[in-house]
Amino acid sequence: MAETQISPQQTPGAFGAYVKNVRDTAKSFWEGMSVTLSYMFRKPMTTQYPDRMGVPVQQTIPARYRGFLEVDMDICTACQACERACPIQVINIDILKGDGKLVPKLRMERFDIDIGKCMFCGLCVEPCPTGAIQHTREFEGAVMHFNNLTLRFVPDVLHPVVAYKPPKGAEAFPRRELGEITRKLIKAWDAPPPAFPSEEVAKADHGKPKPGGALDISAMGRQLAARALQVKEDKPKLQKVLEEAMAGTDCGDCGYPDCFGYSDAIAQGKDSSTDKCAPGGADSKAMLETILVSLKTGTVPGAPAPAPAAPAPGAAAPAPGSALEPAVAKGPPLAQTLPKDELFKVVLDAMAGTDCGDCEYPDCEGYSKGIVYEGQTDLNRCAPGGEDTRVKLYEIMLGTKPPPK
Amino acid sequence: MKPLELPTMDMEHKEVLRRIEITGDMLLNMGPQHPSTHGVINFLVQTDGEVMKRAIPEVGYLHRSIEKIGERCTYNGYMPYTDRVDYIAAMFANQGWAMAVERLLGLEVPKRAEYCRVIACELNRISSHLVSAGTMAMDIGAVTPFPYALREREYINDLLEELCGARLTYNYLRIGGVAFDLPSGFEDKVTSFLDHFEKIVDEFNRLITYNEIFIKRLANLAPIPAEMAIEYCLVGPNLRASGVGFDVRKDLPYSVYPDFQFDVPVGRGEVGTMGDSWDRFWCRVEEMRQSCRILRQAIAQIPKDDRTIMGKVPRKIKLTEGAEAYSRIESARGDMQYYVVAGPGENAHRVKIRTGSFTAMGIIDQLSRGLMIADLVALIASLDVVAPEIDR
Amino acid sequence: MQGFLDNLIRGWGYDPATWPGTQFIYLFFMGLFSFLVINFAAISGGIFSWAERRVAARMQSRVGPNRVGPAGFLQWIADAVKLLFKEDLIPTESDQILFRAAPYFMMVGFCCVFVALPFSHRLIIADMNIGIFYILAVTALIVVGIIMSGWSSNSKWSLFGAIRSAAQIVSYEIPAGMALMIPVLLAGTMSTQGIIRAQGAWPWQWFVFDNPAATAAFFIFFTSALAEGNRTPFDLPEAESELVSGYNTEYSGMRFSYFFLVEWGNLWVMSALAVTMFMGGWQVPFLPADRLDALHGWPAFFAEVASLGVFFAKTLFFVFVVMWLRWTLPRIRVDQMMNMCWKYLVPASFVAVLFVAFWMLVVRAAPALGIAMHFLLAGVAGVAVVMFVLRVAKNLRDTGDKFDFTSNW
Repeated sequence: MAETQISPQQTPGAFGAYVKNVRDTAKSFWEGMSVTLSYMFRKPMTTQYPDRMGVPVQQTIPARYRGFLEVDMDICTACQACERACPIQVINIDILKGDGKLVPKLRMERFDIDIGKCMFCGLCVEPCPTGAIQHTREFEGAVMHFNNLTLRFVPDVLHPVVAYKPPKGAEAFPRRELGEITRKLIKAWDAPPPAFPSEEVAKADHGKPKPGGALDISAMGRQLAARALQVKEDKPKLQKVLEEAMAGTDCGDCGYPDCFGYSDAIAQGKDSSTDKCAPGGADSKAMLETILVSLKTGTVPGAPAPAPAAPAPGAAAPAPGSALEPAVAKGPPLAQTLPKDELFKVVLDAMAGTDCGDCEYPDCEGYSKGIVYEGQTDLNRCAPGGEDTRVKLYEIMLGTKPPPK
Repeated sequence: MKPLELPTMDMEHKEVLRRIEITGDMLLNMGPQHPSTHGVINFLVQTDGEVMKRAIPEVGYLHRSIEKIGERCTYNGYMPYTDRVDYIAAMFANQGWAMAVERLLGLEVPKRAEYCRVIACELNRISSHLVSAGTMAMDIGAVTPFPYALREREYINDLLEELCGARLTYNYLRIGGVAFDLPSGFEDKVTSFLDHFEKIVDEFNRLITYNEIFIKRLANLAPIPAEMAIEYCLVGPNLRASGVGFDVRKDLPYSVYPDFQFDVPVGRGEVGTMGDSWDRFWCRVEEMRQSCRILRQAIAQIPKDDRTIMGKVPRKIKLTEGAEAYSRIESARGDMQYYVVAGPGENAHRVKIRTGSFTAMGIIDQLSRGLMIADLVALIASLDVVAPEIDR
Repeated sequence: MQGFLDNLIRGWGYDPATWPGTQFIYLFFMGLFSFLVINFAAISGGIFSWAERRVAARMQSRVGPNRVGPAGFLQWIADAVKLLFKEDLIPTESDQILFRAAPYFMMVGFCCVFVALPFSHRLIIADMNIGIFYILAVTALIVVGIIMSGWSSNSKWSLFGAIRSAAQIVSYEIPAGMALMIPVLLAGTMSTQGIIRAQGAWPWQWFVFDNPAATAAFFIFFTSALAEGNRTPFDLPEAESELVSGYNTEYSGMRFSYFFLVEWGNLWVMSALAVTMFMGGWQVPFLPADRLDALHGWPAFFAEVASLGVFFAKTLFFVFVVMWLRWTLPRIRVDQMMNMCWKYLVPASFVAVLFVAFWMLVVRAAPALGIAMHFLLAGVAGVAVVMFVLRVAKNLRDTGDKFDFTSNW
């Protein structure tokens, strides 16, 4: 560098400048060309991906690499911490709360990660209590159809995955080898895209029951009915359950602008018809009927394990799992009637039970202890339990309805 | 000639079109698909043959409402978005945001985390300046320095990938600390990279910086006097090339920068006027050397026993509504500033990001008068504007 | 050409002069050789496109196209096939006729040069007595094609490129012409073959080392040739970072490939011209031109192949130098380009011509001085080459890299 340094502010005469320019040009070309020629005789820095790599590219990537996400469902506690941490709602988890009766344990019906939308920021990995969700070193995302880009870790809605209950005080969790699950899912990416139905076929299919009959409609109906019973009082939630029974195409055939309109009308009790969903056809009709009947009777018709105590028809049927609620609501709150140890159990029961740690206690037990013994007054902290848990906790501790958020 | 009319034109554009009609000059739309505009920017160029009379930059093609998104995201969830403010130097945007929220929370960041931040940021500064220098050489017409610069940048990317798992949008910093500690053996790798890199800077200088054609193209091109640079709010290497030695790291020290010995390279007019395009280029090359110095010191001084990397951050950050904070950092493109007003819930009420590229765009109109079209390309490159940082 | 055929036929024991209709035989062979030479021009252009990409890749620490054929050698055929199959887009607003015609003008201007370019001792289509004059005239035809393409595209960027190109090629004709006058002065002929015959096979017999002015003239010619061939640092007409792609911005498919064929074919033209005029052309060591003339039959054939090999080796080296320059240097600006031509190269070339004329008088008076100067300049050049090689080796060592030319082709 020093050789080519040009001394500042020389003002040579016209001919001097001429010679100086020629000399500098020659000198700098000499330097530059010697550099480029020396690179002719060096090994190229690039490697030829993917076929001329010495080792598979995944092995050359450092361990912290943030590739596709992977969830080991065997150790997933269904705490939904990842779903809440995600800034762009890439992760979708549907949980079915356990009530000990119809649905014995906390289950996950859906755990989808839309890789097409994911920005690989790694924020979902950090709050996971068991390390179930991790970034793998897989990154090749060429697919035949972009729908295939959604990784579904619960392959079948009808077979929900039971949430993992971590043993108390556990530090390490038995996780499957990183990348195994995602690699298996990625293999499906090479599947050809679903055939686009021709116009005639699409028209002919409109309003007919779906062929195949692979879905067990009555089972789905019962499931939805069970969920509808749980949220009977909560109109917006009930609407969501009802909407699930519909085709979800927002076609407007029912006379409402979209599926929301129709399901909302049913949920509010303004509409009691079940046959208006044309795309859903007979399936939707059957499911909606099941839900409405069960809402009326308070039991799930033909359920394999019927609710043990048949509640009096017509009376405000207690929703399963919140048996305390109607009985005690009028009296003083449980917090004043029960001994502390009993109260602790009731409070613990009201929580989601995922030990996610969002409440800033290590687990659900800690938060319950905090509420019962240590005078914690903030009852809004259970994020996975959401509104349900809030309502219950307020009922138990204060005997009031929770303030709106 | 049919009068040109665009539906949404501000006064300046109308003025240019009026003048073009009078003088018979040519209206040249440079961009947004032009290869040398460094992203999607449009320049409305009024030219008389090769000589430009005026070039008006039109910004906004890459506007992604990042500031508005900040009002909807949680404080932690906004961190990956700040990566996208300036994707060539994402680490700095991370740091600015983290520092602003830390000030709101009154947080103390562990010493080791601060050192991790400095190491990551200075590596990122080198990689950003490499891109800048390489693309500038390419805009002048020399293609070969560009792959050389990018090859060095790949080494840095490998290092940062090992550190945080990503090569471009790092999302490495967290409010109150950093996401990961340095991996084992990282210090040695950085040191051996620096040993290699300092030689490469010399080679780079031999190849292009002191090339006679390169000097002739850039010396005395669009010099910015110091007063003008200050008036136009230029920051970073653009300002320092004009002889104003303002560096946030030195003058308003943050993080652990007071612990380090380093110089602030200032333009000297070595081959032409002070503050010309060559000085701006040279300032960046010299800053890479200074970053190497800082990195060596940081690696020597990093606390070895206390390995805490996260401060005491509440799981859910909730702040008093209306609390304000302001942070300034020296990004690769200069003084980057974050202004945050806390909202009622878990997100901010207002986020404002002040970036160097945006102000640098403002001066182009003034400087472009009387230059040639090839000079405009060199001028844009020498100001080192990055389209996403202009528009955010 | 005629001489080559005559010699070959006589060598086999026939006398073509006695044959009836020899003119038609000559005509047929002329046609055949023209066909071969035009194909040579096109194919060399294609091969250089591959070579340039490989050279550029190596210089930039990359690998380059290496998939089609051995070391990617057939890449240019794959490209040609692709370009042939691409849609021939013609912008609606363009001047249709000129737009279609422009590539052919380029091709004609480029192919005509090969008529007077020698390949070996006897292999030349027409050894005209005004060969240099002809070459200078015909190369200027390319500028017509460039202006036509730029104007007819009806795009501002194309027009910029075309106008730059016109200014550049027309200006640089002057220093190039003046520099070429120096070998003409030294050889006393304008025939390309005659100029080669006036030199020798060894470096100290070349015109480039005849005297300092001739050396300067070689560099002036080489610079001007770069400018006329639109090569870096004079690639202003197609300055990618400024004018998108310059005069050929709007072209696609086969028409676009013509432009690039001409650009890469021009590498051969400028290098061959430099070798012919300054570097001793096809002169084979230990086989002076008059001994070559005297050979007949198979020995003549092998000598011909040897001279062809020498000429190719030298020319390909210069082709490599031109590529090497392109991947090293930045591009100069329009005004600097004009400045350089009119303020540096034109005066320098005039001075050089005057100096050579003066020098010839001196040498006539003292022949020993001329020979001493030959050896001195050749020696200086040799030392420079050695120094350069050492510098390259130092560059390799400085960054701690190893010599590795063979891996990863």
